[in-house]
Order: sequence, then structure tokens, then C-alpha cells
Amino acid sequence: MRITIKYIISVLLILSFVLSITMYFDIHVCNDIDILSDYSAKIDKFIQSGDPDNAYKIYKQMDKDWNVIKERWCLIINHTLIKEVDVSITSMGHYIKNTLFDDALVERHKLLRLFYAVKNLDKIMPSNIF
Amino acid sequence: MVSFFRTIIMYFFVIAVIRYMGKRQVGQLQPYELVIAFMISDLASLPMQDMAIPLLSGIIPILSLLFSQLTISYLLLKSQKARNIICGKKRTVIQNGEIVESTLIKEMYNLDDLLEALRIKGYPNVSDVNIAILENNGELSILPYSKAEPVKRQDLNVDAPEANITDLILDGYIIEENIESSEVKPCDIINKIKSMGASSLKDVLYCYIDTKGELWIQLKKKRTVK
Repeated sequence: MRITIKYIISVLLILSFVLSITMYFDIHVCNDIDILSDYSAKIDKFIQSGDPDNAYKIYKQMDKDWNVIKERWCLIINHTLIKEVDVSITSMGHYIKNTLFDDALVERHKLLRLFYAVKNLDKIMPSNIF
Repeated sequence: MVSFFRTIIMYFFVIAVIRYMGKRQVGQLQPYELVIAFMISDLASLPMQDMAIPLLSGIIPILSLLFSQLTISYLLLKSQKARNIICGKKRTVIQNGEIVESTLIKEMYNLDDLLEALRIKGYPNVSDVNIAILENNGELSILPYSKAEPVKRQDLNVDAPEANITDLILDGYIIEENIESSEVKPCDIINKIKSMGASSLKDVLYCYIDTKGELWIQLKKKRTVK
């Protein structure tokens, strides 16, 4: 009886470990994406209103936060996808700095697509399962 | 360098998982265990080869497999029905010295396989076999007719000492609990080793008490005396 209980506890421990790790990263990744999306929306707003200085300021904050987020994402998300986001954010910064606003907005939309892909990466839905 | 550490981590992780799954995983595999062994090897090798894949992406599926395996093992332990569904049923391939064709067809077990297994087990004549059972792990268990069975000591009423070998020293390492439980005194071993020209117990490659109760010692560098 004691062995059975031990066995069941060990099985439940493994299950809870797996679920807690995946859920922890799910929640964090979703929060990170919300933060980054918020930044990109602000950048878009400032570019549209003809205020590139503020847009660049927001970009700087975004880049700073991204460098922290990137480290966390490396633990669970494919590094190729992270590299794509990284390149896109860097490009957006250069475009804003050099007043290439159309290109910056293109990068912003590209980023939103990437964020959407990352956010849905671990969602339980038929397209992901199959 | 990172690749080296990732490989080492995955190696020890997979060893731990396989050990946790139990001894059956290493020896005779049931179909569901075989599947897990294949899957684990593949899952572990992916993050080792591809640096873009996080290590956790390999660890989490392996842990999920461990969870499934432990759950299935528990079910199998508790339910005969589950055993029949997951492991299959054992099938009789020879009954009363005759091959059961329908079983061979059902199990996709061809005649060559059957005859080969019979030869390996030491029964080349099908007529010598009373019952042969194809076990779930693919092994063939044979119950021969009594006339074809080898003669045993009990048939001849001959007594023999029970086989019992006690290891005392392995590669210079003394197994103290075995020495204490045996009738051999440590000084006997030391005297014998000295008579063989060795100075220390560390020079002993293998020392044991055989079935007759005699001390058998082999020194390192192939100096053997009985």
C-alpha cells in the first residue's frame, strides 16, 4: 500500500513538474509579448503623429526590455525564432533612427506576426497538435 | 563547448529516466516499452545536435514519456484487461506437437522464425514439443514432452551441493559483508595470497568461495592458483 502511494506521488510529481514548467513559461511568454506589443503600438503611434524622437525613446526601452526577455525565452523557445525577433527589433531601431518610417512600420508589423507565432506556439489547438 | 555540456546533461538525464522506468526497460521489452525507448533516444539526440533547440524542449517530452510509462505500468500492474490490450496476449504456437497455423498468421510469425527459435532452445523436432507459447516480449517458451526433457538429478536421485558462489574480493576491493558471513577467516585469505607471492589484498583480481567451499584466488597479472 505504501509503495502504491509512493508510486502515485512520484507520477504526480513528474506530471506537476512538467505542467508547472510549461505553464510558467506560457504565462511569462504571454506577458512578455504583451509588454513588447505595447511598446510597438506606442512606437507606431509616435511615428504616425510625426514624433520620431519619442518613438526612438520608446524603442530604446523596448530594446532594453527585450534583452532581458530574450534570456528567458532562450530556455524554452527555438533560438531561430528568437533570432528573427531580435533582428526585427534591431532593424526597427535603425529605421527609426534614420527616419525611414515606412520601413520601421513594416518591421513593426513583422514583429507583431512573430509575436503572434510565439504566443500561439504552445497553445492547445488542432493546428498545433497536428 | 556548449554542445559538450548539453550532451553530458542529456546523457545523465536519460540514464536517470531509464533507471527510473525499471529494470524491464533494459532487458525484455514489451511493445509499449520498446516504443518509449525509441522515442526517448530520438528526443534526447535532437537538442544535442541542434543548438537552436532549447534543452528543455527535449527534457519536457522525455518527462512526459516517463509519466505515461509509469501510468501504463501501474495500470498493467492492477488490471489484467489493460495488460491484454497494451501488451497483447500470449499465444500458443505449438499444441500437442503440432504447429498452430492460425496463431502464426495472427502474429505474423513465420515458420522459419518458429523453427529457428525451437533450434535455439534445443528442440529441433516439433514432435518433441508439447506446448510452445509465444510470449508478449517475442520470446518462445517451450514445454517439451517428458520423454524429450533432459534427465535431471532428481530423476536419478543424485544429490549435489547447491550452487552458491560468494565473492570476497573484486579487483582489489574487499567485500567485507561477504567475508563476515562466510566461514573463511581473513587471515586464511592473507596467508594464501602471501603464499602466491603477493603482498597486499590490492593485488587480488578476483577471490571467491566456490560451490565446494574452497577458496579460489586469481592475482592480477594472471597468476592463478587453486
